[in-house]
Amino acid sequence: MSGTALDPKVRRRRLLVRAALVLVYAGLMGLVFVRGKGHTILLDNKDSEDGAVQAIETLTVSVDGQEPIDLAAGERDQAKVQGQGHRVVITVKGQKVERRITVPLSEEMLLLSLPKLLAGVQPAVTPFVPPEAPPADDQQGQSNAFTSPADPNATPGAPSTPPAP
Amino acid sequence: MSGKRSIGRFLREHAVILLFLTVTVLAIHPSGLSLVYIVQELITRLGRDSFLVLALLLPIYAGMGLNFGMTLGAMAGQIGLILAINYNLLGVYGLVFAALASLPVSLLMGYLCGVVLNRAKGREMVTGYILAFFVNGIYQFVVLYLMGSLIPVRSKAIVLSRGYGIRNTLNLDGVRQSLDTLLAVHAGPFVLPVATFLVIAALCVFIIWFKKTKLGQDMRAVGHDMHVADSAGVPVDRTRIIAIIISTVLATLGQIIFLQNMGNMATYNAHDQTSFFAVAAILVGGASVKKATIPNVFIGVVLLHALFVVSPGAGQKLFGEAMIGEYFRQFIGYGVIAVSLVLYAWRSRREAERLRDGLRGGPAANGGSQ
Repeated sequence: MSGTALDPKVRRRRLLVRAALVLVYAGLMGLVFVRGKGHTILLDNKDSEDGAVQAIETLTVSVDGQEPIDLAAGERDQAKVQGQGHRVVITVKGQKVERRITVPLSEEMLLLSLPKLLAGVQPAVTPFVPPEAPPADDQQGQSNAFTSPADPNATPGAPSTPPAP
Repeated sequence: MSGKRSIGRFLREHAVILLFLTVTVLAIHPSGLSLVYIVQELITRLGRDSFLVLALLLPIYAGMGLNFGMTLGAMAGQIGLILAINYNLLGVYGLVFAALASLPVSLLMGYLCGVVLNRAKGREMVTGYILAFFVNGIYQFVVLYLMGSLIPVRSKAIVLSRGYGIRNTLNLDGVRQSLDTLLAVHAGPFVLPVATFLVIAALCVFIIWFKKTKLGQDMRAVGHDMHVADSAGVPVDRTRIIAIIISTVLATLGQIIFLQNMGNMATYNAHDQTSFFAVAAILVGGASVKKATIPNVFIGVVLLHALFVVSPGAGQKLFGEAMIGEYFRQFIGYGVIAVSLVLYAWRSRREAERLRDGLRGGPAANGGSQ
């Protein structure tokens, strides 16, 4: 600021302090990101796909001390959680079982198979990809002069635009 | 005689507060609202708005008037919140992430605003106001076109159906009132957002401490007389830029606190009236373009919002139309700013006349002024 050359030692120290501050800042952002990341866990009480683990007739499940949820065999519900490590408490016929699960940072929605978790079968937590609606038929509406096929807001299956009077 | 003069002086100095107080008290009964409801609303709004209004103090100390450029900080805060929602960050962590993510943008905005205002010395308020319009255009461009195309956006819930651009209204459910409820205390019929109040109290302590530092003293010297401060070796331009940067950063944090309380965000116009209502509040609290204190902030927020709370009900009762009360809010906001600025100009002129009289050997020279 004054225009005089700084002592190289002071300059180096200043640079180090600034670099450290940037690192602390980035580290803090990373920490907050990891701790604050929200996930949706689908609590699934169904038979496993290979049939090795059977659904439980009735159970009550609570994630991270949230309101307990009752699930019958074949049912599914969801819990919204924050962070990576979670405590799952499952009550079956009055008997409480506590398990800890870890969810991957990058996944927004995960499927937790409660029968697998109780049986200790891995992996009990799997990423869940919601099924997407089939893409609209590109040919549909081509013959209709009043419907633009390029319109991204066009609702598939919506009635075609009536002809101009 | 002296008593009459002091009453006259008191009335002149507190004209805006008294006017507001009178209108508010008169509107309470017709509004039909219970006192408990009004007090609870005021507590909520005190937590929601005080931080934003406190952001105006430092530029006033530095003689830069009311910082209408704080809108730039508000926009930066909104960008931080969009990022937090995009990554699905929840609770207080989401708010801290939004604050950290918006800080670099806010610092840059503050610096640019400070540089521009240094080139418009003496016309800072109108320059800041117009600058906010200009930066609003850039903000709209970034949020409406770049987000989702150049800037990756993961969450489909916040992107427009065309694939890029952010939706008009964002649901802030993940961070909604997370600061307010972090340490909520029930006191009788009232709920106090203690964590929010602690954050506001920390800012007040910071401002009091900052005023006593070398930089704070420099700021006051610059605010008192730029030329004298310059002669005394105070880096005037640098000090003014720092004042605006701090104000912009505080406005960023204030906007995040404001929006977490509201629970949703109008992406393209939530920031439009941020500076307008903050300025109205501090003026209602008895501040002027040249002088403001921390009590002015709290008095202003309480008075302005008391009128905002009661005016729709009073409008309904008196005119049979609740919307009249809504229009009344806008009218009052702009009216207060106009009246305060006119009173300030009038007082400045009277003061100049008094000093001139004093130089000519008039009553001021003999200590005859009030």
